[in-house]
Amino acid sequence: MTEQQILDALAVAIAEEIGAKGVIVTRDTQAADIGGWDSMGHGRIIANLEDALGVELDMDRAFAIANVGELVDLVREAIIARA
Amino acid sequence: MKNPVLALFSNARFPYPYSMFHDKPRSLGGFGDELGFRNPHSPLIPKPAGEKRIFMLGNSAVHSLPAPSEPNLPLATQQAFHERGQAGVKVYNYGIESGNSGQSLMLFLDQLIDLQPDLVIAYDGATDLIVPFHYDPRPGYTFNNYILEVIHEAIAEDKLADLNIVKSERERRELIRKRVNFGSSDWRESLAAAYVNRVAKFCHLARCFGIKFVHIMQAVYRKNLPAEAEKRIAAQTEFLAFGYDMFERAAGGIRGLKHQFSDSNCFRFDDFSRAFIDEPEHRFKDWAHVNGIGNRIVAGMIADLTYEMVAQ
Repeated sequence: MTEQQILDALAVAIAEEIGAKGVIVTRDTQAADIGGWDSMGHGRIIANLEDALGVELDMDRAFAIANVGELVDLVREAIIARA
Repeated sequence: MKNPVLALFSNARFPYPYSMFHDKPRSLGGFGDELGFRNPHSPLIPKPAGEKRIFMLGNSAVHSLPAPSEPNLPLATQQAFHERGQAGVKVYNYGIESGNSGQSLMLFLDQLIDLQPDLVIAYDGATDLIVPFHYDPRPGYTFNNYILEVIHEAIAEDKLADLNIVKSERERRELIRKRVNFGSSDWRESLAAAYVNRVAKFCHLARCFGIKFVHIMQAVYRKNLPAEAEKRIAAQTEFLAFGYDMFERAAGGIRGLKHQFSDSNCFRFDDFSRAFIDEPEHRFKDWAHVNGIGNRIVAGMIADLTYEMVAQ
């Protein structure tokens, strides 16, 4: 899975959670840049992403990320671990 | 990003009887009073001579600072009264972070009527009408009730250590969403009706106890042209459309109350939800919270609306 595919899946997971259309995220995007992305919403976004990609993320690390790039890296690690 | 469990149990959501939760006493770095509200000190009894005592109830739009250097809405409103020549006015912040009208109603009944108010202002709407889109969707419920249910069951079944709050929270929310027919017109009407019903109870209680009461539907992000800094808020199109629909539904019910309680100078009703619709400048931090300048504008509107009631 490419980085762009992970970013696209994340954009869908965010859009589902916050009630938005056309969400665009990059590695530098932070939760504060997206209206409605609060701490509980973050948990749901992570869960949506896990369902969409069929991976299981380390929750402690998922809640410690500083930006989308770190979340993408975490997903890639989980994909590798799954394989 | 804070773990959502910790966020749920922050010092701004300390448990109390009836009102469910508000600030832990003296917990906000000198801004929290001994009763658990965001004031330098709690109201004195008896009320000092010359003090015009106003209590402001509501959610985080009342409770919180727009920025560390800015006054919160009650304090900005107090300043607005002073600027208009009413130096004796003191406005107490009884806002609850994430609180809804039911919690405010219980505060009013259980505490405020004993604190000799000259006026009580309820400035709210967002948590009752829009937060159910993301949190507990049941009409009238606090935003976090379903999460407390999940935790309660985990404790009762001795499975707290196994609880995956992220998964459990989402599953419970989906279950309840199906039960309430989330998104339907009937569900929306029930949410609006629960809110209007609370405001009606406020009015009846205020009349019963001889307390002047003002209800204001709060300013929410609704602008014809977003400022650059507000574009991330404007992007929440589906969410905002839901919010506007909810405010319209509730406003109809509030108009009925305005007619019902128009017989004296003890009541005022207003709707600030469109207050910034033609404002091109940056005024919103998010869909329910204005920045410092926005807060001062809202405070001035509140002082203008209630000036005569307080002067009498």
